[in-house]
Amino acid sequence: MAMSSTEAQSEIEFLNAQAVELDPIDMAVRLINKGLSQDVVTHLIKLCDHVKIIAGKVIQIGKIVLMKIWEFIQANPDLTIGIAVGAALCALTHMVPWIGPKITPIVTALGAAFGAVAGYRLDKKGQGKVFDSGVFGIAADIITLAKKFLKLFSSILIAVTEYVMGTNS
Amino acid sequence: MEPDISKEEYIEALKKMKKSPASVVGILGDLVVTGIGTTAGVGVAGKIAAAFGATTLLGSTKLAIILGTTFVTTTPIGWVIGSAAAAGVLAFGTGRLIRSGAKTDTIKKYTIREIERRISKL
Repeated sequence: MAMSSTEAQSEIEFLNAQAVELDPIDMAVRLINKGLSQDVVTHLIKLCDHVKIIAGKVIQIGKIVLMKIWEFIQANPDLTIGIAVGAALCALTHMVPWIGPKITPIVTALGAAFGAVAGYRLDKKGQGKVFDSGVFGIAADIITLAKKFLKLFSSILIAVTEYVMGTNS
Repeated sequence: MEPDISKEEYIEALKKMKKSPASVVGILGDLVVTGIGTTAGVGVAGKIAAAFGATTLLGSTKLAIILGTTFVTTTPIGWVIGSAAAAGVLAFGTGRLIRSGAKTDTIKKYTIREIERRISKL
């Protein structure tokens, strides 16, 4: 889903306007009450510090990512929260490479090995090499679900990144 | 727009936060700084000194060889530079990890304080 830089800019500004309203403490309360581990919550809250300047505007990119993860959790209320957060992060890392280093501590806190194996199997499945069932198969399906949910958001991030790279070069 | 959080929800989150332990990395950081760091530093000081240039003991290489590297203590410049370099390498690797854990604990303490403040206001 390719998106022009103008479209992406207006989308990201719209998301930014929503994200500015996000209160990190309230978000922490919601996530803790949903049963997410406190270490993971703290790392997610730390994301709120990340900002990027895009087209001369300060964009609260960390808050936007957190907001999208929360939307994914709410859209899938029957998923265990740890798995939902892990799948959303895994999907985002896969689709938007620069997000990886920012969310590594969270993925570590969630148990990276599980997500990594599931992600690996997902890649193999994409190549037609492994058709898996069982726990890892389910994890791979959840990541696929998260990727579908976050596809538009990742397209926006990619288009914005391309714009920023273009203006910096 | 999310609905406002009720006092009960704040209290529930606060209870959960106070129950769970501090960040594992933060605890590790404290241990490294206070205990393990000191013990390890004393234990390996002579070897570090030898590895980074100290080869004499009281001016005697023979004495240093007889007593082993643990007792090599007297080539001040080699000792200081050697120890500092080793400590620097060690600190660089663990420093980020410890800082990250410490920051996590600070955020947790801040979050608890802030939730308490909000509860008292409601």
